[in-house]
Amino acid sequence: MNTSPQRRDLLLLPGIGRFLQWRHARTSLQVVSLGLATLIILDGLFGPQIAPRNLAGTLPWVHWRGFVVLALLAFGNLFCMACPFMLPRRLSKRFGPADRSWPRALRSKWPALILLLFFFWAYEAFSLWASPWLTAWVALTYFALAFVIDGFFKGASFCKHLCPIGQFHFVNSMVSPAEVRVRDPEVCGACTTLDCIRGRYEAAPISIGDAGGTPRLATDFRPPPRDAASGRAMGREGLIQGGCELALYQPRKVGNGDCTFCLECIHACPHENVGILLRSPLEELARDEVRSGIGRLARKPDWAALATILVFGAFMNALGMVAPVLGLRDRAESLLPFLPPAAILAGLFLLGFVAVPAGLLSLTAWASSRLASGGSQRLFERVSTYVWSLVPVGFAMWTAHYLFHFLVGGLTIVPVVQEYLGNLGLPHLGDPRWGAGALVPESWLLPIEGLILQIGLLFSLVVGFRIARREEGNRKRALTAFLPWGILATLLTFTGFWLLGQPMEMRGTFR
Amino acid sequence: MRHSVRRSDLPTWAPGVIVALALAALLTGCRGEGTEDDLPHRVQVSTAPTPPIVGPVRMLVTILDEEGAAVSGAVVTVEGTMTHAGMVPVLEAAEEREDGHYLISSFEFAMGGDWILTVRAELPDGRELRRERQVRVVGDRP
Repeated sequence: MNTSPQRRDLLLLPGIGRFLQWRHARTSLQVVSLGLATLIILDGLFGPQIAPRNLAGTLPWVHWRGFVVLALLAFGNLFCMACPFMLPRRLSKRFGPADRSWPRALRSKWPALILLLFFFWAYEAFSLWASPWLTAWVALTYFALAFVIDGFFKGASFCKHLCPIGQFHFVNSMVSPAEVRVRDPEVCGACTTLDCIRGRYEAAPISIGDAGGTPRLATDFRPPPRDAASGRAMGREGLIQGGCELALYQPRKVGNGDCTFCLECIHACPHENVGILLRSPLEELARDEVRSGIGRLARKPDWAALATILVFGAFMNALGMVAPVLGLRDRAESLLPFLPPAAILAGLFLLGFVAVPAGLLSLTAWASSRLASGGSQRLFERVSTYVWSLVPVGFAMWTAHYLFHFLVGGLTIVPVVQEYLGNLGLPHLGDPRWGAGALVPESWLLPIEGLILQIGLLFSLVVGFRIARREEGNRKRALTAFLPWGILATLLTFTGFWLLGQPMEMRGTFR
Repeated sequence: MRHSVRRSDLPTWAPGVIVALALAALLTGCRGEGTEDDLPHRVQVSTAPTPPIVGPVRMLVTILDEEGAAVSGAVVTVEGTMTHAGMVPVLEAAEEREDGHYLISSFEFAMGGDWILTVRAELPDGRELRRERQVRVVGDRP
């Protein structure tokens, strides 16, 4: 196998590589997604309030979610790269103060985790998928939050600490086949300007460049102005190319955690030493070195909790659509008529997102610890270490679920657009063809979903065993330490198969 | 001592935030118009079995005028749409069986869950009637 950098770097591919190297590549993608977001908001607020006939009911919940998982599978964090919320945020950076540091107490994934849980609950409690109006308001709230937060705080505080969608991508892109990283570590070793994190500042008029003051070397660029008291770099004055706003220093960056694929580091590096490199999707989750801007994942309870919520959330989200679980919810509501349905749902969510995962992970970690090392490792440390092996199973469930909707209803966008244009007095695409729907025959759906779950399980087993080898060293001990985690991954996969086999009921709208 | 807020005391971003909040307050009042007509007629929709199940269902539509008399001679269609996007709608024409009673012998509900039935009728006098009904479809395909 040829593993030369030329073969493995997407930036060196003809066509797409050239596009990605273009300085305005990200902006052009963002403009497209901002246009789509605008259509969603307009149709959601002013269009017909039947979700399947509205762009706000169709584009985000059927198409966007399908594209998201496909992009993560085939490439990486494409959504954050093309994020529509970033364009207004740039304005807020320009006109707002954007000079405050994000509060130290909130520098973790906990705020995002709470927002993520709230979103999962609101999705079910308010049937967001069935309300174009609420969907439009979710998008508007997102724009407002990104605008206000990043207008006040330095860097990409919103992306790193708050954005629930971003966290979904940060964790699940750990199994993506592409990663933004340095091409040659030795080049970074000799670098003195650190533009990839600091950004590049305009050349000083009098520099060590040539007679005209034109900089020739990386060291010719003026370093960022520094705060006299702290000595830290500050301000955007003279900045001609930003560095990483999520505090990921390229030479020490590991994997896709917290990487928005903004490509700033690629444009900032004066040595052209950062690329988008292909890799094995099994590689990142088994690594545990110190990650720039993050730390060691196995020592980060907030990251472990995030991974847990996203793994178990995949199953919880799908559970809300099958008849037996909806029947259970109905029974709970009839048994507790004095409680509002939203409160009962919150109780079920606490059970499914917190109590059950905590119980299962603790039991598995305890068994793993007892079998391998006689219980020497703390339970929490073992959970934080091994929970990453479950990410492929969780991502497989998200993929199976979202692809189901995408494959069943991918073509429904055609009549929705026809109707939208017709309502605007532009009937050039003809009358809506409401018969358009599936992208593949119905009989293909279950085999496709089953295959995805099986691949997810296989990945989880391989990652789990690699983590165990890393932790235990000895092959035999590694096998015993891995065994309970392998069983848990298998149980989750079987839960996924059971879910796929259940009669689906898309409801929750009428009460 | 009298304190007043001078314009220069306000942060530069404050006007933008105020405009945005005002815009948001206005937008909360916006919502797409309902699609039902304002005719005085009443429309009754019944299914057999009741509640409807996944699969073929008999559906009877009755149109009554403002005096409660059945309206015959209308052209009636029913469109079923799930509340979740991505499902193909079901569109069926009804046949008039007796005065004012229109029958669809097989209306195929493709999935369990919440459906919106949109009844459209072209009345004999040319007026168009459009009503929506919510139904919950239960059970699996037999």
